[in-house]
Amino acid sequence: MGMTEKSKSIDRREFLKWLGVIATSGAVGATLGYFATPSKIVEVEKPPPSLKIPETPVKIGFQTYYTGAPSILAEPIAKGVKLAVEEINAEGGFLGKRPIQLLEKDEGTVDDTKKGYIKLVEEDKIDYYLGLISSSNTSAIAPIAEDLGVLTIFIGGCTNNVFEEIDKNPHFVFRIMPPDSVSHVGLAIMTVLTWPNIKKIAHLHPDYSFGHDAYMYINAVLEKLLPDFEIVYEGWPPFQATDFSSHISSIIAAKPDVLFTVVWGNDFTLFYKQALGYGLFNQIKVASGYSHGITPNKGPEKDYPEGCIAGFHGTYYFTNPPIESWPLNKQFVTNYHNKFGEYPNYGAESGYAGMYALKLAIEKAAKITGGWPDVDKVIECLEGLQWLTPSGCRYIRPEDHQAYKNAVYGISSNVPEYNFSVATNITYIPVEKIMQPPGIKAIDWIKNTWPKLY
Amino acid sequence: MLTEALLILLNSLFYALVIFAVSSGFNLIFGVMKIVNLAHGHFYSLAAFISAFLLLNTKIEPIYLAFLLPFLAALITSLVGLAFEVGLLRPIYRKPYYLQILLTLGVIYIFNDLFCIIFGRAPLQPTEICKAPGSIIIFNQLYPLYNLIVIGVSFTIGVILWLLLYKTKFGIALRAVSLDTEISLALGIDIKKIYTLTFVISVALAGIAGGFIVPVIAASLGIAEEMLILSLIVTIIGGMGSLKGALISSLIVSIFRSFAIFAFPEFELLVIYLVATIVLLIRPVGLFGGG
Repeated sequence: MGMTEKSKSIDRREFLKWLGVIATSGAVGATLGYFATPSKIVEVEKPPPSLKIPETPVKIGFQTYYTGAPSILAEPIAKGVKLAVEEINAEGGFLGKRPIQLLEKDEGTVDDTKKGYIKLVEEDKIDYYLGLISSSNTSAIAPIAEDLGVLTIFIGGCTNNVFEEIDKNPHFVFRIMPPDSVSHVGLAIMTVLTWPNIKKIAHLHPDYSFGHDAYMYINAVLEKLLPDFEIVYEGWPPFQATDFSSHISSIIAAKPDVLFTVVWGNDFTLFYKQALGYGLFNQIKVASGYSHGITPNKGPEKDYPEGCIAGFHGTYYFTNPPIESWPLNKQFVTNYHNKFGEYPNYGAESGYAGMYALKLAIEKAAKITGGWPDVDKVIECLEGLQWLTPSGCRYIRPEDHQAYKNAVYGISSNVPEYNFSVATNITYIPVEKIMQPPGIKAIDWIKNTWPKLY
Repeated sequence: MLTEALLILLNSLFYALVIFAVSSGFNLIFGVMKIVNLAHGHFYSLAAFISAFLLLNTKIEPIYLAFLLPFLAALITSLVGLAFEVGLLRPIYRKPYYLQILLTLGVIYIFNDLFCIIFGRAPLQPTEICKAPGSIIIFNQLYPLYNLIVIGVSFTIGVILWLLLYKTKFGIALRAVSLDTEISLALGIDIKKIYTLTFVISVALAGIAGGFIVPVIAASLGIAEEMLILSLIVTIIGGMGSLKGALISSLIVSIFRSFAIFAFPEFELLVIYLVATIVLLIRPVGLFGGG
């Protein structure tokens, strides 16, 4: 495939052909060939009179970080979930008859989160559970959820380990956001697509498993896409680092072509503000997996340089799909902004999508059973669920209960409509190119099955 | 390579002098008052929050006058420190260490909650004052001028502190109290006044550091604990009650950290604790302690 073995450059035509990238701000991208623009936004399947549906509230337990550093990313999840709950309850609740009662607890350390989860299940007697953003917590809660037999829909906490190692054959556990591998792999692909001639690479990632996974996946992809590249610097600031000056100087000294970074949240804001003073962005291209991942109004300001790769876990940016072509996004962004006075981030959208996934599964299950469905029937209907969300089409794979969608990235820009840095030139990367089939680990799939495109 | 090394040294100096400004206060409080003030980092953090709040909510022209606001934040923090010393610390001066630790630990929780209530949970970062001076070329590289201002302020604090301790009557009295409280009392030194002034000066030092560093690092929950740990490590390495030790060990910690980031980035976190461990093994009282 591609050019001769002596060639030292990526074969761009072969790369794009292999990738099948949809690069447009107009198309949502088709997952599994399904594409539709729904005309009706909230469809409530009112049960026929014969169906026996109790009218007591459905208790849903919910945990996310309301305090602490992760809250900048996590708290919008609560907002997305609450918006969905409000919309569903406005129509009478699930099946138009059972309102949702959301029982919230703070997400914290693993021990605290476990205690909160168990209390929700055993004392509050929740019917279902949504939430979590920390990978440590989803890793810990998954086996507990399977033991306790509670339908548990993780919104985030996207370490691949949950479904690759810890809960390989999940029954009660699902996850809405794509796994971290999708985010990191997509970032690497987007970077090579944008800057195909890069050779010298620098990395700057938070010093815990998330950052180290990013390093692993990005390098694995680069080995397949770039004929010769060299890692000239790697930096490992601790999570919640405050001073990046030494890292910035070291990165500049290494003279890379591009800097990959998955530093996120407030840490990223600190990093870029400090980097501006050193002129880092004038000398080095920057590819960030999470630069525009927090609430847009609180994210990078207009001083953030244009032309950088803007990331948001490969999941969602509020301007896309464009509201002219995807009414679901228009409804979601408008209602969210009216209610909270800010634009939604990918966490908010995923929380919203997760609650609607549960709603749709319950509706489908009720039609099959002829009454209020038991948890196993709801699980059966979640498996293979394909549903429309503000970010596009999503699909829950039955084998590993992981929802996935096309990955999405942008380029940082300043536009007159917003007083903060936005992501434009949105590029969709087909999910089947960056998400491994069931039964194989993501890293093995990349290393052992991907062709070298040079 | 030489220019990179020089730039790394400059970054080390920036980091070191901020740590020195805070840890010298921590050191003074223990050296003179024999109090382990675990809430010391929170005074640094309080000044950072106040400074950030003032800088974000006031429009001062010309902008160089805004450089007075961090001093105002330090002054407010010192008043809080005064109230803390008179109201909470005085009753426990001669009490066992565990009571000091419990009290100051409790104050940490109170501070954290107050920060959330008063300033909110989101970090505050007033960047305009940081951007205003611009950047200059040093060692062939762009370098933020604001960092040089922070270096200048921290260095000045150090000089003033040295003059205060070694060239004034107050300094003589303070050093006498740190050596022997009872004899100092017998000589007519007002111990309570020395304690109060020492505490307020220490908090002011931390406050100035916090007020000036906040445009670079942002005021957020967590910066207090980070600075407390660094202050403890610097004090272990330099020796309790030694100002020279605080300065030298701040430089050691910062230089080792900066070079680790450059050459062995995976050891960034480890290197500081490694240095502390080695010093403890070789000289448990610290490099300049025990004298």
